[in-house]
Amino acid sequence: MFKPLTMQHIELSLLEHDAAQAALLLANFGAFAPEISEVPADQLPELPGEAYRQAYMETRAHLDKILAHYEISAPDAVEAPMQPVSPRQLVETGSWLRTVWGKCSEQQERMRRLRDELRRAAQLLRALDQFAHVSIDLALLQRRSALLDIRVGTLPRSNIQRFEEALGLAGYIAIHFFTNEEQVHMIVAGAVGQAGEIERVLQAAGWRTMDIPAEFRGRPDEVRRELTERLARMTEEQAQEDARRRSEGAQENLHERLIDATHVLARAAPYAELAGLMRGRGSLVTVCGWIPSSQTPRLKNMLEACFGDRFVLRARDPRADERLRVPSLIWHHPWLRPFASLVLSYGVPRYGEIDPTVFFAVSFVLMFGMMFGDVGHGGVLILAGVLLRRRLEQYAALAIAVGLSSVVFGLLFGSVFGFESLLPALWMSPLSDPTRMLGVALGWGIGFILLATALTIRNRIVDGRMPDALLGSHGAAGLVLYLGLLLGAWRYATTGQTGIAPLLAVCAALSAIFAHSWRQNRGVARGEKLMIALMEAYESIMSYISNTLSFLRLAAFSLNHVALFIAVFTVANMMRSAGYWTTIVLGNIFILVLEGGIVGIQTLRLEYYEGFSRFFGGDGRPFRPLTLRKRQTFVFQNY
Amino acid sequence: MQYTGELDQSNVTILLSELAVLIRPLSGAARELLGYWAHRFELGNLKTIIRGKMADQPRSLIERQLQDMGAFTSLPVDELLQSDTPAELLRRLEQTPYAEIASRARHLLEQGEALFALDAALDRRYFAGLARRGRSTDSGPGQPLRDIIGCMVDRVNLVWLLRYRFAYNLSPAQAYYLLIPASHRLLPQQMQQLAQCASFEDAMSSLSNPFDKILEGARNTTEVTLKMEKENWRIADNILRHSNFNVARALAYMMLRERDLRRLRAIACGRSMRVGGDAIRSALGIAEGGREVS
Repeated sequence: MFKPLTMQHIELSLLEHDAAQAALLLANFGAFAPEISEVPADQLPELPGEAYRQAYMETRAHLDKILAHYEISAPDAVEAPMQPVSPRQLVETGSWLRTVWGKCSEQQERMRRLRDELRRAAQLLRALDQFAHVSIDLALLQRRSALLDIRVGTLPRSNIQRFEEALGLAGYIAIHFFTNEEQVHMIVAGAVGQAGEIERVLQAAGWRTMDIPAEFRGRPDEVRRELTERLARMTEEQAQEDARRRSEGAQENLHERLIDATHVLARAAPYAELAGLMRGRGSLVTVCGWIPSSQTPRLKNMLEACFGDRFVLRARDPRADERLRVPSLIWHHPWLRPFASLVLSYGVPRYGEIDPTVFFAVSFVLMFGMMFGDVGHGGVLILAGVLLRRRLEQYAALAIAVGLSSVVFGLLFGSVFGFESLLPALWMSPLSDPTRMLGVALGWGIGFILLATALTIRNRIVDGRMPDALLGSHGAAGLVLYLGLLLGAWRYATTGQTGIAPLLAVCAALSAIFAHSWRQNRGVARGEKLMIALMEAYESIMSYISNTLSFLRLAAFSLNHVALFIAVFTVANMMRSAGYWTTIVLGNIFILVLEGGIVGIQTLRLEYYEGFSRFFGGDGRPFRPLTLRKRQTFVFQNY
Repeated sequence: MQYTGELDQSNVTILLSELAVLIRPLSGAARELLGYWAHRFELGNLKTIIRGKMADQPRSLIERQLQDMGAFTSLPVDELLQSDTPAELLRRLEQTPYAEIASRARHLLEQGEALFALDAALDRRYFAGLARRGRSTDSGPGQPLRDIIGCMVDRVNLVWLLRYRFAYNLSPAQAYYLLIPASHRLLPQQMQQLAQCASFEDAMSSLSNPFDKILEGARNTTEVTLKMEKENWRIADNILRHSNFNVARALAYMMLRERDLRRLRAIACGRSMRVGGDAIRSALGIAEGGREVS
């Protein structure tokens, strides 16, 4: 709960003909994250499942394309989850799917041609607008002459100027008679003798000789009629083609075979995926990966039940040098999921690192409540969380939690939708003693930073970074510095003098931070090193002070909450009865939405910036177990 | 072969990771321009995929030849590789920003044109896009940017023109048409004149200022390419040394960085083939000590 589950590295060796079955078993096991084998390639030089993997990938690609073509959704559950798919069965499925895809592809190509022809016919129809006013028989443009070479066609719009200049070099002229966004329709004319030279230019330019239909030989209105009919005909063809596609997809035997194929491929997927990481020699294969330590006996039992003694399972704890490679898997109650996903948006906890979710959840809820304390507003948040639980999904729990916190602080402050006379304050109204509120916020901040620094020290010790843990500005030296500063400030505020002990603590801590920085910057020029070390020491003082003061916003927002209500009530009191209540309702909605949003962001900012940035690396590897469905990333999981 | 492939990938990775750093403080047209510059590597990937699919190569073989573009990837490479036939590939390409290329490719293939025409169309489209972006960035770095991109466009145009006319023996009109529809110091009229020259020597002797000086003594298209590249690098070096940070300076840096990485690759390949230092230096156009040979 407070750190990723303990992992074990396992190495499973078995016979090659059991590999597909083992892959299925591991996928059904659901808690095995495979990784590249650590056995040297020269000891296990073969990739026994490579051909299977290639066949699977090709078959999967065909199936996905076919399902998309027929708009069929793949089923969620997998039939016969422990029945492996033999290479022969995979090849047969692949061969059938290739044939089906061939037909689908032809159908798609026909549809594409129809679309192109439709677009072109529509363009021709638009092009007729150019001829509408000249009122000529368009057949004249198609007659061949012994002297004059006339061509009518279309060109992409790009590079027209260069095309015309090139034509000029061959003694041709070009007349545009219609231009749209994509193409230019033009007549190209020149002496017949130069036709050979122009031919290559036309080809290179993407010239399409206009395919003038028979009706184009008449007058434009006659041509228009013919084109309209042609368009209608092609639209009809398109609709028929689409209907054919749908009816084919709905055919029971095809549909059923495709669904069967999805089951086959779902069962083949684990072995295909493992094949990329599996190595072997002769009839022996080995696969490596990570599983939660608590699951090792279960895996062993499953393997024994399936393979008897035809396997060797070696399990060991992670070595110190591979801590960054170990995936993180954390157990949490479903109620903590929304907080966990907010933690995850900052980063994945490193293996062995403290998982901040619980601290985050508690402090987030408390800080939000303190800044947004109102029984009414809290009630609205709880209600929203309950009523919108389907839409908010996991975040419904977050809304309910912060709502409850607002209610509790609302009771402490005695505020219900801004009315302070309905309930007696169990503690006090924030505005009645702002100084005390600031003091509480400061105390909260000090506690938060001390906890964050303690977690930093712990995480660095676990990471094996002892000098950082002891001498770093966020380590023990930083903690001493902070305590020295706090003690000095406290004594100065109460007695007017700091005393010698805090001064000594600050000096000792700064010396340690300075020496640590100096040591870390070996190889840097002496002057530069001095500057870096001095700046680091200075920055550590400033950051502790500014980070602590940053928590004053807890008090500031709780005061702001009351101040906004005062503004709303002042305006409401200027109105009559109906206006009064309208203002109160609108003012509450305004505060709830706008201030609620701002408080949420500020709370998150305090958590991320003042907390996580100190102790939380967030550069861990998520746990990605092999499953029968598409592989997912698990960081927070409920067993 | 695998060794040079890894070197190429390593160079592209270095260039793109440095580009990602340079691009960070930029926004709008400047950012878009630098991102577009990186697409030249993706264009290579697209050509490889099209060629591979046309030649019915297996997916794994095509995949091995592709460069990993990291965050700069815009092509759905997996989807394109999954296509079974060239027609399917082009249908899939139509769903990408390269839709225009897909229809051009289909047309060229229906006409039975060689893949060369498709490569030329892809390159022309890329450089035309670069020139257009260079022209539209007019705040601050406008002039140096136009200089650096214009110089690149002039180089490509001149080299292509000479190659099309005198190596591929295309007609003047076709050779001229296949050039990038943009120019900087090499004006369209000059390119038309060059296209109409009967031989390489005629073309060289009809060059006007400044190209006559830049290309003095060039005996073939390879030497023209080298000399024009050096002129590019000279301008890039000038911008890098004498301007504040802006998109032109970033582009100049990338060009010079690419030159250095290409040289490193050439040296590594030369050494692995046991070519002597002098021969490698001569091929790269540098003197002992790394100085450029004019």
